[in-house]
Amino acid sequence: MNGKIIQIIGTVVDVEFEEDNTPFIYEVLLIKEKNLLLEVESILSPGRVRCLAFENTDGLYRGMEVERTKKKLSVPVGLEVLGRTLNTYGETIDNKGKLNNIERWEVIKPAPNFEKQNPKIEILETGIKVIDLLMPVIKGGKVGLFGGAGVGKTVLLMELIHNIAYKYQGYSIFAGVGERTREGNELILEMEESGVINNVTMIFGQMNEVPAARFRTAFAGVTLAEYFRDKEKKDVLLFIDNIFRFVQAGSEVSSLLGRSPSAVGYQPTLATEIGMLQERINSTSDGSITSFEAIYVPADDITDPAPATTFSHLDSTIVLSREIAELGIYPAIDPLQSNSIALDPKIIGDKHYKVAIEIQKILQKYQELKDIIAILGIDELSDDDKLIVYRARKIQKYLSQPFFVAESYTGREGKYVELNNTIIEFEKLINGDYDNLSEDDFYMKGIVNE
Amino acid sequence: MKVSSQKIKKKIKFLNNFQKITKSVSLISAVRFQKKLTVVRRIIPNIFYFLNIFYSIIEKYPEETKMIFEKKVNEKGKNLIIVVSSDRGLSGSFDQLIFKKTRDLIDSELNNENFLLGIIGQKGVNYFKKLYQLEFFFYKFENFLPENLARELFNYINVLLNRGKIKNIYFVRSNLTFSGFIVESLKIFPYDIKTIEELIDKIIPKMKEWEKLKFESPIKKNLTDYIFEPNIRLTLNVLLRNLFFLILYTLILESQAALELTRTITMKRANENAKKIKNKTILEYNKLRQEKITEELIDLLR
Repeated sequence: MNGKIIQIIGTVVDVEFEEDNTPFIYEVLLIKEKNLLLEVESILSPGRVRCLAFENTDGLYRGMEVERTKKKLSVPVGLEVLGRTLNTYGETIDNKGKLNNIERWEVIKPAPNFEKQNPKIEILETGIKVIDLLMPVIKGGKVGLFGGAGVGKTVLLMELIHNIAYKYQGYSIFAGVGERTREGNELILEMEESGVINNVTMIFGQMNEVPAARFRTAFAGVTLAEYFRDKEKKDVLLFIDNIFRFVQAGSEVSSLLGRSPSAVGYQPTLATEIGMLQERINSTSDGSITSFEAIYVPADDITDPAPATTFSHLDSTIVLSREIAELGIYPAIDPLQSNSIALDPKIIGDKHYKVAIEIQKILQKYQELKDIIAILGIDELSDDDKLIVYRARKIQKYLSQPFFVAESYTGREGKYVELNNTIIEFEKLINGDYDNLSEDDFYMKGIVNE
Repeated sequence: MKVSSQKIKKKIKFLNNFQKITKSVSLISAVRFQKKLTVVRRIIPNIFYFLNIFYSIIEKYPEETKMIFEKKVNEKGKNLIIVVSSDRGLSGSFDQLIFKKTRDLIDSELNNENFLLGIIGQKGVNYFKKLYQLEFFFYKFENFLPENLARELFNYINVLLNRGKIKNIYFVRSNLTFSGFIVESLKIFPYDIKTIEELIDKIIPKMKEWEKLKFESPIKKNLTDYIFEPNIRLTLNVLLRNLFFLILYTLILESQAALELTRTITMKRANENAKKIKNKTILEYNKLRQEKITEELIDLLR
């Protein structure tokens, strides 16, 4: 027996069913007349449920019929979704036709249990020198990506997708959460141009969507990634842009459902929601999901509850810096502000660790000397300091790299640099083997003597 | 990432102090430059005066004075290079130019062999001691009277000459010009009756006040009668020694004057750079302060 809408406030819809036909929490209800989906968020009394609509509630009216689906929200999974763009509830939005007769997985699931998880820490080689050397990414780890507009965030993401496909024949999922629709379109076009689109599934719940849709997009993205990990047994990359918007959507959902706000106006269930999402991003014995999560920091305040709660889940942080981008160094990753818990001799080995720490030391010293250089000029530095400055500049240049996905812009052939080569090259640089080379010899190179 | 406001405040304070220091150093250097230039102004007429007497005697007593330049130097001796650098730095590219010139001299003209190196100035000592063995060096000289330094140097050179250890002396120094200074290497020993005039011409600063100064040979002038005590040769030797000392003294003075001039400009520039950075930092601080106020207001409104 179908239910009826009894109240509509914004995107919050109350529906009444018969008492013995009460829908369960997170069940998806369908308003056939408008082809609109609702998700049950709370049960008010036997038979009466409070739901959130996945689309605008314009045109709904009291007494409208609502059907039970007896299922949670699900998304289509399988190899067919590769190269496709979906919305939160799994409809294709790329004008390439519908996905018929395809398996669907529910988006709300528990995280893999202890036995399933793979506690072994393995490094995921990205082929990007600066990342592999200074902020190694852990397979199944979570990487926070900080960066404003125009610093090369998208290009970096695309290169990672490309390199993972190249090295591991892995797949990538891109979940666009609460960002501009225009950016999503641009991303699709750029991915098509650079040819990486066939290894990616994109799922969007952008700014124009209602809070519930935005909130569930991140979970839908994780579900797609889980499929490739568990069924296809692949190493999967999951990109979430932007994790702050996920928190923001959760906050809106919370307010709509009438929960009391907590610190700084956020939802009281902030930590739980982030935990539910992040804990699903994990390595199992079958494969791994490595996530790259773009993080917007409100008012540059990292103590804000949203980024602060996210931080505790991250294994690595990649900070894209405008200053470095202005120098023409791409990827514009700030090697000093970015970090990784994998930068540990027990994980990456003594040699890699020593080289990385030495590189950081040189760059740190250079940073300190920059003010002196700006005021007094380089001539006032001691010979040892001058050597540090020259080497640091070379290191800075050497951390740049031509990207495969940017070949059409730069005219330079993309380079994939294996981790071993990266370590050897930077060891040579810090040992002074390259002191006789000029800075330009290091700019936009894979390795120097290629 | 956010920098703490305390850190920014500290930086602003440091930049303020730095500006004060650079301003003082710049002013002190400007005064010291003028002082050194005044001494140069006093010495140059003396050099001309000595040279005048010297030429008059040679003109009047050609036979007696013929032997004076025939003193043989040891052909197996080495080339002595004297370099004047700074002690404390803070002088922009001054030292680098001097070092480059010296290395050019050693590598190109002297083919990296048969030379002795004498350095004046801590920076030069630090730089060259890693590359070559130093014959002698003076440092912390900026606080000493250049006259004393010239005297020391003069005595040391005489000892080396008397022992036959050197045959040529090169001086890497700065020559003041209209627009600042140029760094050049100058051969100051040996000299004879022809080259000494040329040498003196070279050591005179190429500044406006000395632009038209030219030594006029006293040949056609009325020559004074001299009585030589104890003899003409000894008197000429003393004259020549004094003249050589004055040349050394002028070279050192001029190098130090160039150093002070560079320091004046460098410190002035450093002051301006510090001001720019300070303004930027103040702006950063104000932004941070305003941000905090806004945040507090928002918290209150919530």
